[in-house]
Amino acid sequence: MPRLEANLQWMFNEHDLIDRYDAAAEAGFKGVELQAPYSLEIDQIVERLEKNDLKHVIINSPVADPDSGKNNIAINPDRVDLYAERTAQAAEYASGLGCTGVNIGCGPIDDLDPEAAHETLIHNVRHAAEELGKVGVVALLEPINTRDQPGFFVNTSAGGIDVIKEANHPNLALLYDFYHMQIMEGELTLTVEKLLPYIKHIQIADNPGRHEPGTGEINYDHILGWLDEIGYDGWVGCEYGPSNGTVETLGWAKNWM
Amino acid sequence: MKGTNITVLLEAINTIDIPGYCVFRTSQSRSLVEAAGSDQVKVQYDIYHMQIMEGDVLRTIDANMDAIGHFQLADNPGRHEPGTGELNYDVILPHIDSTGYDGWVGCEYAPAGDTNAGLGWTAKYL
Repeated sequence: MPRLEANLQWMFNEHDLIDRYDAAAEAGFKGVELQAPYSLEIDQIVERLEKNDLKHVIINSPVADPDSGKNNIAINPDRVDLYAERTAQAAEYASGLGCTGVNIGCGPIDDLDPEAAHETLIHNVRHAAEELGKVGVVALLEPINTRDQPGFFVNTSAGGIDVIKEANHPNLALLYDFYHMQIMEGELTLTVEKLLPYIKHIQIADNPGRHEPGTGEINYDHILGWLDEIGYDGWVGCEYGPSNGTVETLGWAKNWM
Repeated sequence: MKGTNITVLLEAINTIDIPGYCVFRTSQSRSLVEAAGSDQVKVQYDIYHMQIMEGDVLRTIDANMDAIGHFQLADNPGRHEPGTGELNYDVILPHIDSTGYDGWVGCEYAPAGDTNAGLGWTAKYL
């Protein structure tokens, strides 16, 4: 059965970052994810996980370029050394927090050369898959919609699978985000069914608006039931901005926590 | 159709069900309708076909409402009645209403079971 976990970057913003772990557990979640845990100490987070019996499912690699601020060092040929440093930092946190996966980043192409960006990405995802594998954590590549993030380099499920196949590393998998893929391509159910062997994490939000299920065009009651039917028993990250208070808008989630 | 009140409708269709179909995205049907340059030529937006080909249903409807002359619906996958697939028609139909569209919406689906038994979802919209 798919199990929902709370994205603490997007949800429980009513609380300070560290206190969102307590708030998520109190609301009934057994798992959480957080893009950027790096402003907190590992021990500090572990204390909250243990206290609340929470699983920290994924984090993201810190892939911001120190000069441009863009989250695209994974595709910048001049930043390969920096990407390796950041991967080491992600591996340290993911290992310390007991994560199952790390979102290893990609980013907007901007004025980078697409061919060089592609080669750099293949090199970097292989490196990340290798390094994260050493600490038992899966490397996750996430296609992201170009409406919210113009120029995002890998922006369809097929594009993600192409990178994964070319990199050809057993510790590299797809992060399928229903929200991003509904904006870019539709055909959600059959795409996930087809790509299931490659998918090691799922995220959700409704569209348009990126709010909780029930606010948009996607029928998540059906999709979660169907994920169960096809045998997906991993986590599903709730990566959405609550439309009206995190706890007040959680009614839809109760059967899947 | 000149001199009548009948609208000519152009529909984009998904290429999984009909491989090779030449108009398969909303942007294509819209530009053909624009090229025709007549108020009597409009887009027929089939929510089922466009969910298969492009997704982003509500935003696409909003962006093309001025060119849409008819809607058709079915859930996806399966092309059965709303509630059997990945689309949330409880949000989509009120959203179409909120755009001011007061035309018809064709139920172009194969009932999952008996037609009447699968009509519960329509009560609000008939």
